[in-house]
Amino acid sequence: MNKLENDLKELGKKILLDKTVGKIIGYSYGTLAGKCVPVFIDKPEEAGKLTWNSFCDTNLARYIKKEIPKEGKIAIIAKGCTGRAITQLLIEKQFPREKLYILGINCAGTIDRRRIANELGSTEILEIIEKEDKILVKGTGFEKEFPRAEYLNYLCKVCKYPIPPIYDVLVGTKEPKGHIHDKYEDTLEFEKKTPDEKWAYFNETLKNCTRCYACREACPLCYCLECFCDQTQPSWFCKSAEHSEIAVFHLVRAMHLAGRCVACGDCNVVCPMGIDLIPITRKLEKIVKDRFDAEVGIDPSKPPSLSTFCIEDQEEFFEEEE
Amino acid sequence: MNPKSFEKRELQNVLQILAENYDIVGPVKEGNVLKYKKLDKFEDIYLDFVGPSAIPPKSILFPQREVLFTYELENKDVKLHDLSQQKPAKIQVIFGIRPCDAKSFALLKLFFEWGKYKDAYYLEKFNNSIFVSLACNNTKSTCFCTSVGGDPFGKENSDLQLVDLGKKYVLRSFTQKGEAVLSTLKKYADAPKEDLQKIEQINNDARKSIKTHLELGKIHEQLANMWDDKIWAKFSAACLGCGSCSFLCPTCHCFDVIDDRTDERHGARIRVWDTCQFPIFTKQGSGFNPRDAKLARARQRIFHKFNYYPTNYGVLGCVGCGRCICLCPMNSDIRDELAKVKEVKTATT
Amino acid sequence: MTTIETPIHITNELDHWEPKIITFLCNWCSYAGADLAGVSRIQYPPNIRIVRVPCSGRISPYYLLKSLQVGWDGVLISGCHPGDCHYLSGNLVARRRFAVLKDLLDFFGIEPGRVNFSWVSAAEGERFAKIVRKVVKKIQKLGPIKKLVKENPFQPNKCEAQ
Repeated sequence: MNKLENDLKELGKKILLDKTVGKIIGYSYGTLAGKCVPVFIDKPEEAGKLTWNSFCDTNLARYIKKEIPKEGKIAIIAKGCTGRAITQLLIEKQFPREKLYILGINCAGTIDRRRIANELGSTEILEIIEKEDKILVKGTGFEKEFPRAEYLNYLCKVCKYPIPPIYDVLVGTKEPKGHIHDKYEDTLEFEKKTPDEKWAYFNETLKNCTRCYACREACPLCYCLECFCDQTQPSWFCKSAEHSEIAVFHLVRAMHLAGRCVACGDCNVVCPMGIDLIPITRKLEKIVKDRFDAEVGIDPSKPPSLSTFCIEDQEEFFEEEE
Repeated sequence: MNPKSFEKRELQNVLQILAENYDIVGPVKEGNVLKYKKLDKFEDIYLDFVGPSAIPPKSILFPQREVLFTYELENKDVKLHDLSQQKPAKIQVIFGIRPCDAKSFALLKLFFEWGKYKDAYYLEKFNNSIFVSLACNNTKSTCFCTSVGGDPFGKENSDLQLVDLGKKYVLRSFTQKGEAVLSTLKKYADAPKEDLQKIEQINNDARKSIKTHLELGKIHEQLANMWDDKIWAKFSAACLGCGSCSFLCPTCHCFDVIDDRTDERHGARIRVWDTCQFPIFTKQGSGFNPRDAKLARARQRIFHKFNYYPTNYGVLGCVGCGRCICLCPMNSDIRDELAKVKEVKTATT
Repeated sequence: MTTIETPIHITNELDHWEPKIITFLCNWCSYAGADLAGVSRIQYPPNIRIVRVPCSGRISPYYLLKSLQVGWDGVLISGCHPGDCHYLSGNLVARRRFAVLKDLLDFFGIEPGRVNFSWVSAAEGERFAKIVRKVVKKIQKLGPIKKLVKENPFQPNKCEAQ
């Protein structure tokens, strides 16, 4: 158990005892090695369940809306991307700021467990131990070390905001991670492909999609009461796992998240088929940055990009006579 | 007929012989994903996996998207093309499924043939399939087939079973359909006694390797008294309400039916997978939703598999494959839930 | 009343393929511009099928995507020039939306020429015709649409596993 986790447990117990908050949304250990699960604690003696490590990858912001109490406050453990999602949800007026008690954490990135599992093939991960800069993985009759920095989730590698933009108390130090000058090389590299190559890539990537909607449910910014694909009057798109419908689902979801996606990568982590949705989240970030000079979930005073306009907006893609 | 044994490198030739009379569907690895596909090239077959595949083979007989019928309007007449009447050209051999998956096809059949209206789409395909299971020499930590009446070398709904003996395979049959298949493999020798003894030994080892032991007892009676228990709210707290557990479960069978119009004169009725875990699954036309609360849906999942199935069909509706545990984004663990259910004191415990 | 024929399953009376392009025109500017082209007898290719909407801001990405799904070979969307919107800012909001949609469609690999946008005012009949000619030529070069077109349910069920 690291010092950060210790501090978190103590703080959690304290704010429940002195009734600063009535409930804490945090992380706890799951039943599988290397998996942390969301936990909802309302008793001080349960604060010992809280944990913080490199496997706390889910974005807890999605639970806030349903858990906001009528009276009092609720606490949430927020790493950088969770905090950005909270900020964006506050911009969109989804819940009052006063009801939220944000426990910020300086996140060092989360491990890409799926990548490790894929590389191990049929050997099951039975134990994962985090060391300083290495991840020790144990299976039946086998042990292997993975370098932490290399096996971080991709979006964690390029993350510019490990600390949430707004918080009530910061657990741990404010040691800066170092601002990364992200040039979106991965996106630019992808855009060099021809349209046919891009289409072939997405067809290949998305072909295993079963329309389970884990990506949609995991996303903190997907909170519509009725999703466009579930609409029946009218029914624009249908629910089947046919290549055109799958592509349209992901396209429209991306469209709905433009200017709102915080690129936390949760959609990528939860997909049971292991579909790589990172290129889409990266492109969404880049579009908003290039066209509207905006960054999602950083400045609580800025409205979402697609709900405003600017007279000088670029229109280079419009047809002219010649 | 006696079981046949052959060197591992002969597997492709064996499949080649079977392919003369049957279509072969088997496991292949595409990227990191193991899936079941119709095989044209048998060198693609991949049998080195442990535990069940991520994608269940139920999609062979019950695909995510299935066209039920198409219609065409001609003046005032409607021409219907009912696809349930379509007979597959060849019988298919579904090769290399785990014993838990083989059992799951039988559990699905109980649902699709129940009552007055039989589901021709599933049953037609089922009756034209031969199931060859691949016995589990090793198990995953999430496997719990023995807790729900299964076994790593389980025979239920397997016409044939392939057992890996290291350097050889043994192919044994349990049904008449299986016998018919074995009779086409006359060129291979009968398995010697040592091979059959080795099968017993590997079976015992596999059974011992299963780490989960749940004493479910009369769980369906116990559940009947737990409808209002507080436990359901605890189970559902982190649940996303996505379809992962149901879509990947080999025994889940719920579906939605949609009508898709191609143009004013053509269209089709299509069925797609649906799940009781979606919040809108039970939403009615009036807007009322009896399972609006997450705890109701968490309860429904356990009840359907461990109370309704035993009540309606006399068997548990879970095969213990563990896919829902491995692949649930929030690591909801059904074993944990069942253990907690058993701990609750009710009128029957 | 115009009947819009959805292009798939329609036998082509011509002996060669001609693109069918669905065109969304805002009522106050572009539709009037197209009307002016007609009244002035300015010739432009007959490949477009016009849908009149009150404002370009009314146009949802669903219209575009659904059109491509059912087999339209291309889409043309036209509205008032920025600053001239009958509803003041409809086209300005739409411009951002179209920009994101275009970028995403390009990213997914839909050919850039399939989805087109323009500003045409009520006085610009000739401009409308020129833009239509340009767009039709573009799409003729691209050929019939294949990507994003929905699978034809008249094909038999595939028993292949996911």
